[in-house]
Amino acid sequence: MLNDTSRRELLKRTGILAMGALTFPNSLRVPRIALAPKDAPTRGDILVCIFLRGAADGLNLVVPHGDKNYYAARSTLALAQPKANNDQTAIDLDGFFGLHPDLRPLKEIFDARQLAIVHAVGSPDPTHSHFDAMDYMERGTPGDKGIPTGWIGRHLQMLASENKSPFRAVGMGNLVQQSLRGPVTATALQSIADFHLQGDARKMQQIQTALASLYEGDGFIETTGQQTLQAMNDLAKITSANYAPANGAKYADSPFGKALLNIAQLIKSGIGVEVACADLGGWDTHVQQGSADGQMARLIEELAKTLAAFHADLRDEMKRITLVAMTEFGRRVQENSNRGTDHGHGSAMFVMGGGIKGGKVYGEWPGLGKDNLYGPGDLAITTDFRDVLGEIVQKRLANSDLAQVFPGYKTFKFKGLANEQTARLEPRYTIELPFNIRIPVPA
Amino acid sequence: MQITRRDFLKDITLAAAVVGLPGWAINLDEAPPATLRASAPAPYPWQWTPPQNLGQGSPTVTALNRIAFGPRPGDFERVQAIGVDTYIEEQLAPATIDDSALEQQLAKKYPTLKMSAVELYQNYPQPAPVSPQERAFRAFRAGEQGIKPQQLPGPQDVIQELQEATILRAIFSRRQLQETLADHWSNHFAMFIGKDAVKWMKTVDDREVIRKHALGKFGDMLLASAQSPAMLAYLDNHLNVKGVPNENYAREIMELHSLGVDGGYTQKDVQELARVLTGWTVKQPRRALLGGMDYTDAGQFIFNANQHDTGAKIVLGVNFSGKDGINEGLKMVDVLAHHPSTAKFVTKRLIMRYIADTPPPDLWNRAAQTFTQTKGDLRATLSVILHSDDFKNSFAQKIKRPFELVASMARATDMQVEEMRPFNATIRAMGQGLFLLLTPDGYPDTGTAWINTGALLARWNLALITAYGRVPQAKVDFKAAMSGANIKTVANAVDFWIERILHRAIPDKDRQKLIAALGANANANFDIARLPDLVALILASPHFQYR
Repeated sequence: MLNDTSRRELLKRTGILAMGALTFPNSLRVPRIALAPKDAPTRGDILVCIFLRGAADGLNLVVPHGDKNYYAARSTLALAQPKANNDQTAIDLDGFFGLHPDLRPLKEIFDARQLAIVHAVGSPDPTHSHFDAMDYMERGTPGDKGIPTGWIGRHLQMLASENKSPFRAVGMGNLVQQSLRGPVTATALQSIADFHLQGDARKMQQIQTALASLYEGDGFIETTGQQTLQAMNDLAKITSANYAPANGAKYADSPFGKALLNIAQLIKSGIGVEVACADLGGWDTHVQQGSADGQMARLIEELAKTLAAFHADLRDEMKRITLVAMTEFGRRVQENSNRGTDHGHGSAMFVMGGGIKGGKVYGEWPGLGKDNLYGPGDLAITTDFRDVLGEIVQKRLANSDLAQVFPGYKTFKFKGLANEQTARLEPRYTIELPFNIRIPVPA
Repeated sequence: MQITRRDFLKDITLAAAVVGLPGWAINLDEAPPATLRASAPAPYPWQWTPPQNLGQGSPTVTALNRIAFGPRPGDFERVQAIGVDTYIEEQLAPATIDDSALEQQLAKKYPTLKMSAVELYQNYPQPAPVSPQERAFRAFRAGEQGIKPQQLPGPQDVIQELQEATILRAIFSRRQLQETLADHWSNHFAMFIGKDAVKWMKTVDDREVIRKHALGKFGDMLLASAQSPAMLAYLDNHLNVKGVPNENYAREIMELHSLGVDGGYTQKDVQELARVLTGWTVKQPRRALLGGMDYTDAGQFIFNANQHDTGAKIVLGVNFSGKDGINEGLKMVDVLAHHPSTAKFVTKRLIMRYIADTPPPDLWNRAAQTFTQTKGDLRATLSVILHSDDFKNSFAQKIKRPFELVASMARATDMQVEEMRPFNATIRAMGQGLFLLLTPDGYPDTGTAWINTGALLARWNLALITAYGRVPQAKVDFKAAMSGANIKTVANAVDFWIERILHRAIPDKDRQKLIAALGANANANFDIARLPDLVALILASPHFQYR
């Protein structure tokens, strides 16, 4: 038996962490061990990671209404300066920035200081490719594809947690998000209620037993099969048929809304969620982006409604939850001739939670004047996204080894947007290494 | 083609059962939206962990699982007899394979496949917007009169026919390489069929770009794609005009269609290529002066010289004075098609489709050389790839994606499928909806991207539904399949079905597990009531997940 620290030391010494996961033994993947008890302590916050896919326009999400260049560049798309009782204008936050009117449900959370915004944030890599930018961001290594794991995957790998639940890391959707990749296998989940074999219950028990024997083994497909069977057993224990969100929370009636509702349900059930990822796509607004109404406004409404519902639903649990929403890059400052915007650089990030110093827009504003722009005319970046995520990892997820989570990044500049986790819980259990693992210790 | 509400509910029920859609999706009167991720992840970077011992493969099994969508009963024996290399040669010349029965069926079921762009627009016009009140009233009237709500032909029919035809061809065409290639190139030149004019024009693209050039010259395919009305609409180049260029297509033709993301171009090249391609657009349907629509030449590629940027440009080191009009773009498509990075990128993706997630370096080099020497001849390039030892020895290197899984299950069980709608919904629900990926990067083709907990559950449920004969409007007859064989014991039945579905012996421990799953010892009498369980377990086992 080893405690957390010594296991990590051991892994480090043997080079497993340093080499990414290229050589990790299969048996390091979540083994088949019983679900953690309901009251098992979590070391840090539960992390909920939202990716706005397609490059969300930070300038119209969080409007720099105090910058006259914004209005010069966006003759048809700009949100008007805040006016009281007008739902077509920006909602003022601090005299310079304002929320898109459809983000109104988040204003209350911002005012309650549980929502922080970072502006002019992003990845320093100059790519304007969605796929490259997402890839770099989810790996947490801009400009470098050498390390195959994702930043959350590495974080989980290092914690060597006592938590053996297959729901330790959950990716909502058909495919697991790249940020979750690592030796701790994440569970891909579309819907809680129907995660079982379809057929006569007694017969399905026989089939399930047979599948368990056919999927014995150490290969990728077999270990995933074992995890699937484990997850089926665990989910059967949650009564999920008629889940009613608390506090009148109403999620958007969409796959994204349902994903967050399912995450809330999993968190409340105490099934062992540490990290959950969900995606909201459709932000690539090259054409007819719209302003207070239109294509992007509908997405913003879906986002705001769902995040506000999540916050209300988990009101009593927010003290141990941190939610972060990010996008791969922002959009060109100057609108194009199709009333849309092309690929840009800097955008905005949202951080929500009980341990967040909210009610503030963080980050230096680089300005939108000709000389302030980046590359082909984009919002410059004054905050590296790793500064935000690094602060969350260290202060809220209780993992201070940022060099492993964001390898190659040495100059972290925290914004001071998170409180230090005070109730640091000592793990109740120590990790048991699977009996068949042999870690060579160099002489 | 009319879809009755009953049919529709059956489709959705199957899809819902397979992936576990929530109950509310079943009770709606309209199709659920394509619940696709905005972006599929990049291929999982580390190596596939080898499976448990799967037993011996054979080049014949591998050839049928890769070149074809899996073997149908009789295929294995035939290819064993003529030899794998002869089979490959036959499949490389699809025109020599008689597929007339299928062609007739396609023409009858899916008339849109052969329609021109104008005919598609004319016969399936965009329906006029209907207010919610009007819609409610119509539904009420329809209910009162006990009739189906009237459904006018519209673009949804064009989409539906193309998707269903693709599945029908995958299951029943004898030109199987042509079909797996069509799938490959549709994914290489991926587009979301729900966007704007793509709804109609993808059918033209499928016929005139993908299928026409699947075994032709890559440069011809690239140019056809660049001038395809569907691609012009999907990646916004129809809006790319001088002064305010739209970079979307210029970027993707280099990143995704030819050079690859590391192919050696810069952001500056993207901007310059966008300028080169200004004015490449498409004739749109427009309102006629006297009301109605004017479809003359709609969907035709045109070069609009007035919107072409006539300034000087440099792309990838090629200089343009700006006075050459459309020739600048033609030149650049040619440069891209024959660029060394393109040879590497295109062959890499072909090898990943047909051999392994990680291309064997020697073969990759040879394939890229052939591609270069033959000026992008795809038949010659594929010939090198498929006749290689790497191909023959690549048993269990690839995982079936949902489309391949569904088609191979229907083929292996000799399923008589009358309607493709249930399978179309299933493939979509499993995350690989045909022409439904929102982003242009195409679905990943690595095992790690498609095997996760949710996906495995869906695969097992599909196996159960198939084996229990519960796919709507489809029939399986397992008893008939066994009728000639002398099957008495559990061991007889297990061995018969392993051979019939997998065409190879599996390790004895797995055989014993199947026997045990039937709750019996090997010599007990086989209980015919357990037949669906046996078939389901073989289809759900790790063995059937490999292609």
